[in-house]
Amino acid sequence: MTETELINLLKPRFKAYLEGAFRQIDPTKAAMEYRKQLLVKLLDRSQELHIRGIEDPELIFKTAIDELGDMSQNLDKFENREKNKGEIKRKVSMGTIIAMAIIALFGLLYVIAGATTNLWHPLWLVLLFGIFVSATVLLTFAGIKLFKKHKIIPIRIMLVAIEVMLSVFVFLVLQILFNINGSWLVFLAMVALIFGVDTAIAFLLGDKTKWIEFPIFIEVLCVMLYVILGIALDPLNHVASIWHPGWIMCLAGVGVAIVELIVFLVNRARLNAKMEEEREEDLNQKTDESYWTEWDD
Amino acid sequence: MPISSKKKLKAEIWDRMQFLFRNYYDRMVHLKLVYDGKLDISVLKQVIVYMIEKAPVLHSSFNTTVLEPYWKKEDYTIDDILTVTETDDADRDADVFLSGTIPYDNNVQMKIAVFEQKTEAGIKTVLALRENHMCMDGGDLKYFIVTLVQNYNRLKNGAYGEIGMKSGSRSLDQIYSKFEGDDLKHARGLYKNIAKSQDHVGFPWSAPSDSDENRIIRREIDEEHFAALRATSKKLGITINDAVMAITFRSLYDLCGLKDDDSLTVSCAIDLRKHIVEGGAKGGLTNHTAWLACRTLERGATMQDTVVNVIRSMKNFKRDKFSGLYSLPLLKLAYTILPQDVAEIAIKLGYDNPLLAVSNMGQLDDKGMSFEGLTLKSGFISGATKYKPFFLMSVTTLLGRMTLSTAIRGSAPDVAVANKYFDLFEKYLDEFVKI
Repeated sequence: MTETELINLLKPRFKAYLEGAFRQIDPTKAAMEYRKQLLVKLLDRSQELHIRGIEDPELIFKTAIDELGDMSQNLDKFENREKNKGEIKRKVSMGTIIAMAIIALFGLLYVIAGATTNLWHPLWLVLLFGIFVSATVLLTFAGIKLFKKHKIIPIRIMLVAIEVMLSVFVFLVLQILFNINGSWLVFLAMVALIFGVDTAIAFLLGDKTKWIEFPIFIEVLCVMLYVILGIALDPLNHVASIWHPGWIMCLAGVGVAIVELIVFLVNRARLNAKMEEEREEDLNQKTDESYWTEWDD
Repeated sequence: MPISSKKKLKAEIWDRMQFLFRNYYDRMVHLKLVYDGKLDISVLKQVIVYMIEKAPVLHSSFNTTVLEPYWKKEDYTIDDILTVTETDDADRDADVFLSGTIPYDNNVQMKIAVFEQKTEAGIKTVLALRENHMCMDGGDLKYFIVTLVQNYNRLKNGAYGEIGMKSGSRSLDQIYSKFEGDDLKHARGLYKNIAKSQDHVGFPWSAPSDSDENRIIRREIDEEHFAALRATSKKLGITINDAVMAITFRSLYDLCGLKDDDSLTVSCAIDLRKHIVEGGAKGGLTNHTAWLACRTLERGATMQDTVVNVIRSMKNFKRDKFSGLYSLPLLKLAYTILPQDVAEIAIKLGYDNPLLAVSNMGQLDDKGMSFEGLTLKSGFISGATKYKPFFLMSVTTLLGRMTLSTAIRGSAPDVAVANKYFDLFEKYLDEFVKI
């Protein structure tokens, strides 16, 4: 029997089987696509069984259908999965609603406070705060969705976006409300914050890059701290200055990297020694055994 | 006497990619056709000139600049392209001719040789052709040779109205002509780089040496075995290409000394003309070939298992309506925004040339390739001569016989190892037809 003849025979039967089975779930577009996928799977499997030597169409039909497992359970799982997908979508749309509500609330606050006090400036910061908070809410909901799909890199990028927004807001508050000279130093701190949070995530997730990120973070932190303190204390030059010998701080990252390298080398040496020891033991055992069993012929 | 004026032609993406491939092979595509009978050389010369004029890239030199390379139309005469030789061994001389190359900055990019040998039955004619892969691939070479033969026959019969050849765009963008709407948007956004290989198993060629020279090693599968291969493939509901791939995998597992649970990747050439309206009949001669990495995770205990493993991998590509189109937007972007030299470095970093590959160019049109008054006896097309460690098996079928060939810059031990591979191929072909 050729494959074409076999398919002509089995295809209608597979279709009838699937049509019957799928009546237990709702007739959705997703269900239709799943049903079609299963037909392709059954036909592929039939071809494979035929290639492997089964000629009896009845046996091929039975084997292929059996391999699908309990269709009732499969279809229940499929439906639940589809519902969960819907829930995630709802969560995202819920996130959008919450974000919009926050903007509306802060917008209302801004209008009321502005109208009653006539301090439109700097009260617009309230509205900006609302926008940043709603953006953070949106990113958080999206982050949850991505986390479920194990997509970590986009989450890390989102966190950077949140940190940037936070820094911008803090800068504006310090600059506009308190008129603090050197508020811009917040952006230097922001760089260290971004590296710090990302390093913490790397450690939390057990990411391989954590030991590379850690000294980089320390280095960035120390350099930023050095620059911030240097600039902040510069006007008090006659009282205190950190420029010298404060620059030594900048070596901290290198120091951490060296310590890490030493620890790594020591650990590796220990591991090698242990493996060598085990190998020696193993070799001795095998050698001993050969005293009893090895022949020259 | 000069025939044409000088003019620049755009170097298309595939031209530039094939230029980059000079690092991996000699860029020559080879064709050999054997006939009983004698050609009318005067008619042949006129037809060749007519066709070369229709495809300006074939009489152009490739010029590299730091920013962007280009083709420059060159003056030429028919003698730059065609040579006719009387010989006592046409096959031998044709093979020697095919081992030659054409520099990319040459004035013509195609060389044709006709070897005439007197035999007891009359005249045996061997037509050998080699051309720069930067101008066209095997798919368009098949078109070119059929058109050349047909134009020859028409000119001999004075049917001037029927003489013709396709000409038009050589652009990569033609491959999107069948897509529209969201599909088109999706196809143009396939930036994913799939050119990085997961397996690094190579053909057991000998180490490069000074005695290496261009060679084409081939094996012909006779009518009986090819018919059996076709019948078994039909019985199993697989294509001949699937069968060839399965037999190739099994042979390579043996030849490369792989363990049963080792994974293996063999790239398979795919003709992108399936994505072009009318199969590219309106475009110019060019390259429209991509590679699909067919991968199995284990050898399989039996030939049947290997077939199943291979078709599982191949089905993924067959069911993907964008198959062969991945990475192309990335390639285009690199060549568009980067200067030539930088683009070459960047692409080389992201591209792994397949170590093991099969290019099945399929059936050659025996009627289409029959010159009037001559009888076609045999022939094949073979891909470029690879540099070690790369291996490409070209497959063509003509007159019910399948020719397997591999072109390699190698030495005598490499001929032996290629023949060992073909022996294994024949062994597993016998196993396959018994399924």
